[in-house]
Amino acid sequence: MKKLLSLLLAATFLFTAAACSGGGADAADGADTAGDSQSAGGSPSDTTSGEGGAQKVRIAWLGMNPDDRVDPISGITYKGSYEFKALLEEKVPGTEIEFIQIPNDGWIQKMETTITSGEADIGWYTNQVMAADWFVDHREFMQNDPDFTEETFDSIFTEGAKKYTRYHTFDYPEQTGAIYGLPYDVGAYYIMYDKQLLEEWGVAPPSQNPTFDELMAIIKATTGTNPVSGKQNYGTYIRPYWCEWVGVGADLYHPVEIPDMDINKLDIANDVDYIKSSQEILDYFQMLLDMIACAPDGVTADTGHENWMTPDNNIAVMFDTSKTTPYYNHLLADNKEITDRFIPVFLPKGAQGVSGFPEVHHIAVTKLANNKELCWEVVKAIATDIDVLNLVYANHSVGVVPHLVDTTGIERMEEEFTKLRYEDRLNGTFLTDDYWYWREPIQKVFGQLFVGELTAEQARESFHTNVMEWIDNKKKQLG
Amino acid sequence: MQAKRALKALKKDWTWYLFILIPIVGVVVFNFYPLLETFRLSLYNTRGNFIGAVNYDILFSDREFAVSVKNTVYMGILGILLNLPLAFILAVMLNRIKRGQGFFKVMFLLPMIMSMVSVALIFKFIFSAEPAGMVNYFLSLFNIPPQKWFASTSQARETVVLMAVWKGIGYNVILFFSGLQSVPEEYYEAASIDGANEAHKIWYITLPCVKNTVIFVYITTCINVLKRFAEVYAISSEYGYPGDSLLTIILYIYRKSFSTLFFKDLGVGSAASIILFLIIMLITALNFLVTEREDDGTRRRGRRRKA
Repeated sequence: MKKLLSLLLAATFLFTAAACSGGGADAADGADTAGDSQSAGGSPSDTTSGEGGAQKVRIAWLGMNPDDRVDPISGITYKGSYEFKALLEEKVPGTEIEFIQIPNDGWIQKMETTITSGEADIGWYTNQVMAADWFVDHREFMQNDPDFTEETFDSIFTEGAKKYTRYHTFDYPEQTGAIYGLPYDVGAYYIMYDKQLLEEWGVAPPSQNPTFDELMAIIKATTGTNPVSGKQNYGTYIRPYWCEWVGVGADLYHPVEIPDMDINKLDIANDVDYIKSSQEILDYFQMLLDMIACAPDGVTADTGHENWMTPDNNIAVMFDTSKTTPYYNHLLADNKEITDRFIPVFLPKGAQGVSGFPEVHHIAVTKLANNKELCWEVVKAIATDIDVLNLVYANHSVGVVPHLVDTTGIERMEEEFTKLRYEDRLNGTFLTDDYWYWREPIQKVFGQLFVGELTAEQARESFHTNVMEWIDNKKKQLG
Repeated sequence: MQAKRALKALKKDWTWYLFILIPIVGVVVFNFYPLLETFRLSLYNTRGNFIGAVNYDILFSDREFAVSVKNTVYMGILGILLNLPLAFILAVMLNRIKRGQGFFKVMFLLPMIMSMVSVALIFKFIFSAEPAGMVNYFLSLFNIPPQKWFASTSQARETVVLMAVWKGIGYNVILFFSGLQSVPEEYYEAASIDGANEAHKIWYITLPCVKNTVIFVYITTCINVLKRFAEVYAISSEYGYPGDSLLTIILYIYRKSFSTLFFKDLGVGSAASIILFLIIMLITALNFLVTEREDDGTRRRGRRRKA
């Protein structure tokens, strides 16, 4: 009896271990380069064969809801992925689409696990360094596809979308110029002010393209006890982390272009040492200190904004772009109570005429995809087919702007707000190679600046030291 | 001869070895292999090239890592100093009451089953930096100016520790309580006859009797506080703000390994994981050594008395 029991337990263990091992062999079969995987697509495995001989294509997409969801602000019902699936299957005959929902929170590790374990044929990503580890270089598809060549890529997408799709990173210099997937939308953020609050203070509203000086004057003038309501008002609210992107408009950074992304070719004298004496950087840090003085006490810990976009709002200018995005839902809902009071304006720009985070969202064929050619057709449909894009913009990428030069047929472009933001991104996107050499170093500065551990001068010095350290470390790592 | 004996023993008890094999395989696959893989990754760059100790060199010169170690140790010591004595006192009180023990046990355990996110939201509300925040309003009744709590570099760590103690103390209370239940009532009765007061009873009877439980609770709490993550992540997400006040070692590792907003450097993240592993191992070994020596001393004293 004892032996039988132990044998049963051992068998259960072995069975569990075997079941957990997954389809490694299938994944390995598909791990070849793009273009030669048609045979893998014919595999009879569950992951590759759909109903009626259709080929299954598994797409891992951030926040892709399987069911309809009702937006709590606008009351609009956004369609679940089933409609997207049906449209893609119609556009790319012979496919059976399966969406894998990746939650927003901590998405990178979840996406990475899904992709590197061979569970997805197509993956989603934004401007991330590790695209080279996850996806195939799509130039290989373009070489064999007369309908979509590299020239097509260069002609149909906006400059920002192209720049942040072609790979440029110090970590993989040999992959410079590779195209990991195709873009399908562009993030377009904005700041806002409370018109009613400004009127109560007798302050004139800012222009649609305001300068930092213009906004600072408003921020300073609206901090204190409101002359009408008698309540404490704060001139602004700004998050410690994300200030690096607001700083693009203050001309903090030099656009850099290194053809082979060899970090040793980074021009330290021109592209780094300017930091030490940059008046723009000093002014920006000082301005942030002034802003913090006009913000709620909780700003150092991302609290104190709770009344924003409510009738009890006490903040004049919202500089945190993550807090302004719900405005778009109010706009869709035609909620005049909000849209008449809270007014969006563009992020300030400096002499370079650029602003904000150059955010581009992509979908790409994974290295372990089972039928890469078919996946490429799906990726093309998502990135270029107007019907698909209209569905995506209406249900899954709400509030973004298109990535195409020719936006004919894109319904969202009929809205004035989207059109203006599209034009702003078209002309005002900061274009540079690998921005991490200054992004991480300046992020470290903001944390200390916001809690008063650094003066503006010390912050500038620290920024320069951190950049030099980052570059030295990267050189050491790359050997 | 010895091998033959071992083989005979193996033949006799092979089914038990098979049983043990199952958890051992689990430990090897889910503990040893990831540890070795982490160590391997700490010696490579993002492109998979061997770079020796470069990642460790970068780690030790990183101000943020130094801050994360300081924060972890400070919050850890504070947590242990608050949690253990308080849990012990509560357990002693719980052990003394005759009615309603079950009710109080449930009450102490309730925060434990709440999700850290819910607890963080409640504490953020209670300890709001605004003058109208609950605690600040209460303080204003005594003319104490409003405090910034989670938004202050000088109070954020302490407030997080307070939150963690509130949430986690129930577990230690129950462990101490079960230890106290094993102390024979006769010991206390005899001590009472000899004229011992309550403090004497706790010091000379309760503590020596529950020593093993105390050591177990102390060591597991030490390990847990060194791995502090959920609390700081729920309060400050991956930022660790205000400033770097809530940046703990695990949060540092998370940022380097999985962050969506910070530069992903798996090599440095792995190096930090190995250093944390060594710190935990060292502290646990030290704890064992100290407590074992104490134990030996007690045993020797006991033997001498008997003699």
